[in-house]
Amino acid sequence: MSQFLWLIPGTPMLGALIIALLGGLLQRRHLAIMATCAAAIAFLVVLLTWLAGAATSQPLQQTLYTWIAVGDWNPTIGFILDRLALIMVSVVSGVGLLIHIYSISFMAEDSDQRRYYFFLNLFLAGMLILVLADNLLLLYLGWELVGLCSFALIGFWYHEPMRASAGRKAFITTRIGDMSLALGIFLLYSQFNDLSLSYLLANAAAQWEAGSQLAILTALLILGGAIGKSAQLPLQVWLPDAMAGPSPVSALIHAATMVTAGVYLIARTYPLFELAPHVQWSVAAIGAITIIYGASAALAQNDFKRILAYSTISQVGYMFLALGCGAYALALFHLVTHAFFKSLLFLAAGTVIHSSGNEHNIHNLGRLGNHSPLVRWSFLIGAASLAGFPLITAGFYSKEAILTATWSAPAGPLLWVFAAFGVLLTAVYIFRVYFLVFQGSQSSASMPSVSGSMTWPLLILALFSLIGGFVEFPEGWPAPHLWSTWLEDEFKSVVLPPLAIAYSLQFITSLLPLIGIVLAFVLVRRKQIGHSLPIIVFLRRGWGFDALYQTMLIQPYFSLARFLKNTDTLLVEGTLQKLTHACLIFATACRSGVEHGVLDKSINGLLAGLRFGYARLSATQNGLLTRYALMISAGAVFLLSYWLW
Amino acid sequence: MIPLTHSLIIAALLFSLGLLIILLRRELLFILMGLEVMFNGAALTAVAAGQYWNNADGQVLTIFLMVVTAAELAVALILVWLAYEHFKVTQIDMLTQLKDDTRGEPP
Repeated sequence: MSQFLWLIPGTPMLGALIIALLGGLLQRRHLAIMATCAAAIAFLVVLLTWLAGAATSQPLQQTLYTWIAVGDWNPTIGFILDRLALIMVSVVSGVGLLIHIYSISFMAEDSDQRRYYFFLNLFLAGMLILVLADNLLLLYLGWELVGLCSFALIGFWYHEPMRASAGRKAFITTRIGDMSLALGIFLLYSQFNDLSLSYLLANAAAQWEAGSQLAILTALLILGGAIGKSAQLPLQVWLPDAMAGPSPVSALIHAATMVTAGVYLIARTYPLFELAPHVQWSVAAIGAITIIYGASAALAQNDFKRILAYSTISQVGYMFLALGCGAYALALFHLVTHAFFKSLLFLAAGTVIHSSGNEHNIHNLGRLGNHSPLVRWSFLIGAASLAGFPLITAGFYSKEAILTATWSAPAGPLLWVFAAFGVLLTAVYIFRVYFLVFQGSQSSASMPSVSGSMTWPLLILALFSLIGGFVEFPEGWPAPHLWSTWLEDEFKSVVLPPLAIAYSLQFITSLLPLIGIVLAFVLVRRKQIGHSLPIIVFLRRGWGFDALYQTMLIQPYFSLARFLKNTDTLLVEGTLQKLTHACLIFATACRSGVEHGVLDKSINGLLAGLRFGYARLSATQNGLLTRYALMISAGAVFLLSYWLW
Repeated sequence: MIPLTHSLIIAALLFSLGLLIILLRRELLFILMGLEVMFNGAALTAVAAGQYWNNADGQVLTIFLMVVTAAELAVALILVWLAYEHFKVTQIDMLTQLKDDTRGEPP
């Protein structure tokens, strides 16, 4: 089986290549079908690896070829499929396939499908490379590929400046994180002379003591990369604006897969984080604060997709919280269920927005009424799963498991309170949307029907949003714990609180979503949300982070640019004038002085010299290419002759 | 067998000829051609040196150089065309946008 591993990222890459090179020869519809086939083959190969027993056997490995050979450093294009990678690959290729199918109808009207499917396939390839890579360099290649595709797809409708600038914002913000990750990789290489993941993770503990400075620094740099990609505080500002892209893109890249790359990265390099307990605790703290941040900001939004974006920020916060508490398997569990229900919500939202003529405001959408029952029900299922509706939804099992595991971490009860408050807020904001948009919906004759290829992804995702959680039942229940048993070789097991506490925690977390739903119903009834309160404006602007960055970073940067532009004039013109002026004053003073003639002449000479030099130097910058070429050659000849002398 | 010095002299001649073309001609297309001649000088050196040391690397490098040159030429030709589109010039002397103009307002 392992010799077919390259097919998983290979087929989408091939699809992207064919679309880029030969796409002009194909019809629009065939383009879509071809791209979908590429995704389908990747998914089929993943299914085959499951059937071939990848879930129980040793990790599959395949080395395609040596990428670069420099001295004793030979990074390879090599893939490894262990259980962690298997989870990620299944989610990415599965959700990716569904989104491709959905896109066939969703993007049918668009005139630029070639670019869309090229980037969509390229994204899939990049993401699969990221999760399959067996060394950090290849992982970084995938990391950058998905960043590029994310940028290109957010700004897909780049004719509108707002959307184009949203793409730029996402790219620049994540770049800060990417740079930090790159520095982390450089640091690891300088210490270990190897970037292979298995080597690094096996030897890190031997070479570094727990809590040593290098370990802390490395963990911090990797955490920086993860924060940028996963839109956690303080680099979260790009994700709400990233909703400028088409809805399927938001579902695939900005909900299910790319934003969880940070979670994957930390889970993959967890031995490094174990060596730096403080950093690991700060992962949990960042997660806890982000949960509250995302949920409270989502409460005040009026734009349908922005609500879901803030919700994604908040849900990825839960994964970070779990990672910080050492519950890596549970973070992945939530990653999987979140991928199902959040892409379901995005696709349902996309269908509603699409059929209502690009109306994003939830109040107006509610007034428009008539939404098809399929969309209504799938949104309800997604919302219930997101809120963690007890017993029947996947979201309940994954979220509940994380909350229970949080309790026994350092400062656990505090983190738990944050997370539990987040659960309440989540239920309120998502059901506020549900009640506002779908409550007033009457079944009328003019109901827009959902076209074929958009139906199936909704149904499949809705099914998995319900049953996806049954692989891991809460602690202390007489039911199977398939997930944690399956992953117990990969990660160390979690310390859980005693059963009595666990039961009471479970009781509270199952009660909170119900309270939240009732609260949302009451609030929508009273039309209280979205009016008056000054804090609403604060929340709607995402706690004012955008304004803060605007005044703290962007404006100073522009001022600096302006300052440098002015200095250019000041330095060349101003300094010379001032110098001349000063010399003149000095000269006049001296003229009346004792050494009248000598000084006068020398100062005048100096002035003339300066003017002459300035004129000559300025003449070199004459913009003539040939003159520059001559200077370069003259310089080269001079250097060479000096060297060879 | 041709001695190394002969090939090197030819290569040096080619290189200087190309450089002279770049320095003296004003037509953008001729400058590109001059560039090609310079590349050929470099490629000839690589082949000759490869033969001298009985090493295939020189020939590999030359093929690589050809590919890179072709790609570079494609981009350069588009730039020449764009220069013609935007400024209606084909002469290098007319393209003096980078001229230092300290007396005027900065752009």
